[in-house]
Amino acid sequence: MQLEEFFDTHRQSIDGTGFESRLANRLDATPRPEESLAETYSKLEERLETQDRVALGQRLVVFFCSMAGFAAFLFAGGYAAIVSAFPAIANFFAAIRPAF
Amino acid sequence: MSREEFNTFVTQQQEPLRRFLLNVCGGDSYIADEIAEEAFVRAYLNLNSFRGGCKMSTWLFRIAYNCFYDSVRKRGREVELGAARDIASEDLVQCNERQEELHSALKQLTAPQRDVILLFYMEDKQIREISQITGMNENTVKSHLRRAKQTMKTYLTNL
Repeated sequence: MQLEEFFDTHRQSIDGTGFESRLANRLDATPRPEESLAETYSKLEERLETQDRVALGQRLVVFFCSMAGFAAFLFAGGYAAIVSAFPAIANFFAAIRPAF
Repeated sequence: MSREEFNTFVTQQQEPLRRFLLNVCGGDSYIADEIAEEAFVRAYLNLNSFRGGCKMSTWLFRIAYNCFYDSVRKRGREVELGAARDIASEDLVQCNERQEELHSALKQLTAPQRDVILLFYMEDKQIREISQITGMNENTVKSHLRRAKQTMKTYLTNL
């Protein structure tokens, strides 16, 4: 007799009704599977990545606002005002110098 | 995986798993069912750790295989040789001449040879799957299978 044939003819069929109901009862009494450590780590990593993305976004917003403010200052003649104020500042220091 | 999906998985896998355990336990359906139940509970509790590196059925067989050898160690004897218990589970197997023939044939083999030949012929597992279940490398599985075939052929010819 061939081995395949031997195992085919000797393969038992097993009814699972009783087993399944016993197992279901046991599973009902078993607490839900806990989250694995790996899953906790992956969730933590995901949260950190989100936080990093938010922080990067905030830095970009601050950078662009600063650049816009600087450009506005430049185009509004901020430097010209400072330069034109230089003689007055010089006169102020000249006036207080004799006191020392 | 939800509980309903797990129940479907149990329905699909209980027969091959319990048959395999029944045969490695030498026909002791009580111990086989105890181990199968423990394997399903362990699988359920560790569903999150299944990474999908193999078939889920292979993963379950691996758990059951470990449970079986844990049980053998705990009992301090070869469970498969303990034929003292009454084989009368209400939903299990026709205990007849054929089953006796099968178990006496399997007794000619060493434990690894028996495990490998049962998984290969009875449960139609591939060499790779058997390797994943037993933790042996594929060449060792092939070697055990070859020796088991030779022993079984000799035994069956002499019957």
